[in-house]
Amino acid sequence: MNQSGRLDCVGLGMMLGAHLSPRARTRITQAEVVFAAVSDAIVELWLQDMHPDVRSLQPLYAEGKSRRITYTEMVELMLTQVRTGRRVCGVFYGHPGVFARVPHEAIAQARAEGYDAVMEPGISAEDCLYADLGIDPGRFGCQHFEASQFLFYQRRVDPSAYLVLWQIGVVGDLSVSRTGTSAAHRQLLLERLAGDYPLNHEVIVYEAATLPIATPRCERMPLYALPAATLATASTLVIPPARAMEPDPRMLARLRALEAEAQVRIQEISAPAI
Amino acid sequence: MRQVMRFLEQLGAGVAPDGGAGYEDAVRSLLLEDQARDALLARDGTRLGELIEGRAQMFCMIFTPDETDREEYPDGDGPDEGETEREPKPE
Repeated sequence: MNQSGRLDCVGLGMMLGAHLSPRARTRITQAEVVFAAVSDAIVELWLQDMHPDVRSLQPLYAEGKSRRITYTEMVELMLTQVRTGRRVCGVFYGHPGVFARVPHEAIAQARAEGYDAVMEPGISAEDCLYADLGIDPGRFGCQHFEASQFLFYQRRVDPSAYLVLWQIGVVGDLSVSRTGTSAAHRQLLLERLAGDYPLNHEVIVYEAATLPIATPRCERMPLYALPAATLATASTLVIPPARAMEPDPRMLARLRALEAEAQVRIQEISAPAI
Repeated sequence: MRQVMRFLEQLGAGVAPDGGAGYEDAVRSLLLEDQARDALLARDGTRLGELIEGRAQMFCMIFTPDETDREEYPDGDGPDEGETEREPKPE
């Protein structure tokens, strides 16, 4: 790279004091200016304790203002400092590359302009979800969608795997500018899900703990109760599998044939030549 | 505030007692205003945030649902020219 500025986007993890990696902390403390998009007011103060020049990105949000504009402004704010030749660190809650468009765009833009730019991973809400709910995504498989995206597009759901819908509290917000949507929006989601799940199927509303004095929200309820549930911007909907995985007999037969064929070849190779 | 932060950091790191009498003793040993101590004892993060003058409203969304690009389609089979898959088309 030929420019002197630099951008590091790091993950703070979800919980204060619990998840910050040594490498991410070094990026923060060695930066000349730090920008912060974190999810808890006390976590933001904690970060300000680590560096004398921490600039919150929170004032860029506003109820009724499109988050597309907010995110463009966030990227531009960080890049403006990089272009002056400074070492900039963007600190984001969780993992800076998971359900997080701003760090990806900022890094791509910085690199396109010739600056060094790096992402340092963090412990995400997804990671906390697996630990707090005792879910192994490998057991039955796990599908993740942003909740509104799940409604806007025709997605295929596999009810024999976990389904995780993020930002459920703002599901269906076409304007991308609200901090919460209504029971009517969630009713539409319910109707969409009812095609794949029984209405009394148990689902979980999850929120990771951001302070070590708090406990995560792991609230179980029947699917039909979703429209009336109290949800926040940090709420995630977890839908466990509703039916058993179906074996694929054709593929299994082909795999067995393949293995049998390989066995024959091995026997042919290892048989002594006469 | 610094005391509260240090305590929370130790708690998060797992080096301060996280429950029961050990937690209460650790909180009571801190040199804090009564209100901050009470908030910690009650594990009331909202109240604690107010007392140490944290931001009143926090947004925790850095993603929008309609940001797919042509280059992001794994098999290169994105929408055709003129199609509007970048924007949602709800009924």
